[in-house]
Amino acid sequence: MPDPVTRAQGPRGYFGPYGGRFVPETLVPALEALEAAYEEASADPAFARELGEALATYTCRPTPLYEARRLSGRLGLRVLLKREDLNHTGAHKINNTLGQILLAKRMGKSRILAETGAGQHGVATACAAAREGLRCEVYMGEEDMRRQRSNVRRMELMGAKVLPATSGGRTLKDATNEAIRDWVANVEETYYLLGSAVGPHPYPTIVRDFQAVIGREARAQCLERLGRLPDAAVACVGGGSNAIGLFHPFLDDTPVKLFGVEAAGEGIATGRHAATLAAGAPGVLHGALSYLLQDEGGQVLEAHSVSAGLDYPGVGPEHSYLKDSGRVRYRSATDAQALEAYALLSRLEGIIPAFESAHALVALEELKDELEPGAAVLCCLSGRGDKDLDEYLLRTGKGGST
Amino acid sequence: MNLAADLREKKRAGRKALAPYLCAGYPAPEATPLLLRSLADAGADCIELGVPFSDPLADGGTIQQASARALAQGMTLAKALGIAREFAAERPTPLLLMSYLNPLLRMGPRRFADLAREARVAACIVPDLLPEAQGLLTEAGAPPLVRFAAPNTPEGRLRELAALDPPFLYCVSVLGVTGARDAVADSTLAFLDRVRAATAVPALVGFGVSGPGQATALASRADGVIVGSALIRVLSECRGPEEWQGAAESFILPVRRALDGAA
Ligand SMILES: Cc1ncc(COP(=O)(O)O)c(C=O)c1O
Repeated sequence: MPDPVTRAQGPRGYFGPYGGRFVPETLVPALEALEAAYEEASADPAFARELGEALATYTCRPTPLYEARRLSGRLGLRVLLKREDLNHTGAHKINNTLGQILLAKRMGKSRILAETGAGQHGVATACAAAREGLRCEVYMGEEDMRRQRSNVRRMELMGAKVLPATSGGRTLKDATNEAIRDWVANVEETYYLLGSAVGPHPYPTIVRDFQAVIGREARAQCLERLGRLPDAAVACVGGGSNAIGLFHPFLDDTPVKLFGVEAAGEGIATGRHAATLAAGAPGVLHGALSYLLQDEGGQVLEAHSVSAGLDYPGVGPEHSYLKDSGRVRYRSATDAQALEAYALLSRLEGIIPAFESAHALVALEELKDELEPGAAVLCCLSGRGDKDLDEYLLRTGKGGST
Repeated sequence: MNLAADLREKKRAGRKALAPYLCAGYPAPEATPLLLRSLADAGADCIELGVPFSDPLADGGTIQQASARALAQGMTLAKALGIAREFAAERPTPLLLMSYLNPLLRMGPRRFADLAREARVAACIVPDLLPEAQGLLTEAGAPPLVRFAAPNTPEGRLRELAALDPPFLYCVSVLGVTGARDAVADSTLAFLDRVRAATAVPALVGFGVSGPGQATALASRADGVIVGSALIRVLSECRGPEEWQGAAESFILPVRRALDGAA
């Protein structure tokens, strides 16, 4: 017979066998409180109204669906870009931070804590906190602070404090470790504003729900534009928040093929990549059971990607479930391919995509072979690429020194 | 004798338990068997042998760095279990195997249970495994799981954790990660009183215990203490292998004497 504590949670927060809550006991009351606050907020029309207002007037929802004519011509597909890059602060991350900051306010928390990789989540958190007058501290790996210097300055300008994570590979995984340790120590007054669909229950659900606005809008826009659903939808997968946000409203539309794109770094065969679903095995990191890049002893491996936002050895638990179920197919794109796509979209459409989003664009080229000519493909352009220009010039040897 | 019975017996006799923590493979792989013996001979009631992990979420800087060093020198769960097995043949002192969940899952719960039993591991401490998910690890013959309680653990849950009948409750002295701290907060003592009121299961306090004074203050409200980061720090200051055992002994003996004097 199950004991009372075991029965209390039951299968809540699991996606098939994945997800759950793998945290120190100290965080249990905080996660319970968050879950309760989220349930309450979800049922409160005033919460929906306040969030809707922020999404419409502070960022610019609904974001447009743009038919990329020249790219379509080149690929022989009909490419529809969901323009998350046009959001305030330049990425989809703000959909989640505007939602979670309202939860933090409801819970009476005085301090906002976040981790960031590319800095996009950090910036989106900093602005949301500024707008509510809440203290904000963001952990960022030292290596990422170097790669994404302008985002560090942006966060600081908005009044946030950026705390360097100096352990391990000094990227997103390490920043997340530090943020969780800080949260454990300051759990009473701190709201941990997690930036992707990862972490212990209820985070993967909360982040997915706030990002699902991407898919809901895109679905309606496709129906209006095409008079039907798209043939396929594509998104890049780091922790997996823009992808799950795009996919979720399409999960029951089985004719719509769904593709997630992970970062293959220098190539999966080299071992220097971030293709968790392709090359990982189920394991526990940062509070959830999900696919994980790990060695045969169960130690977590360092991920590698030119894209700081995809440079993560874990992935959200719902993606693990969707991979196993076969509903979503996961592919990967290398650093070199992503850099090419970065330049290609800039040249063909005058849109500079984030390195992260460029990975999704790479898959478009390959999907030609899987889809009918002229098939309509919805692609999440999760962010703008200005932040990556220095790194692009450095990597391609096209710029002077930066 | 099993660990739970052993700790209950000590509790009845008024002996405060001392449980030092070692990071397997730190400062070097060959140090661990030596240090286990020294700690046992210096009066440890049980020893927590930590398996290093790449992402130790519940640990502060001292244990993070020790873990990274140990991993860089090739320590693994399988090797730590091998060390435990050899130690069990030499000394009766019970070993507590501490590991984050992922290495245990990777080895596989069945194989882990078998190896742990062979090594006579008395209990497992898995800081990122809550009772709600323990099904991932429970296998017939596996060592019992120690349960954690924290200062913010509500009354009802304290009782539920105790009802799982762990060999002891690992009481986390502060909201925070491991790491030596100087003082004992009033709130910590109040928490320990709460634990004692909620259950008769032995309660050992850990996180931040740095020396004899603090150990006795905490042990006055609990059944024993776990000393981790402070011991690791002492080891990190050794100039060479010849100093390891002496350093561990001269750190642990005063704590032992203080606990015995206070009992
Ligand atoms: C523009 C952009 N796209 C994608 C990602 C990856 O995150 P996720 O997989 O959660 O969408 C990031 C992360 O920083 C990002 O900045």
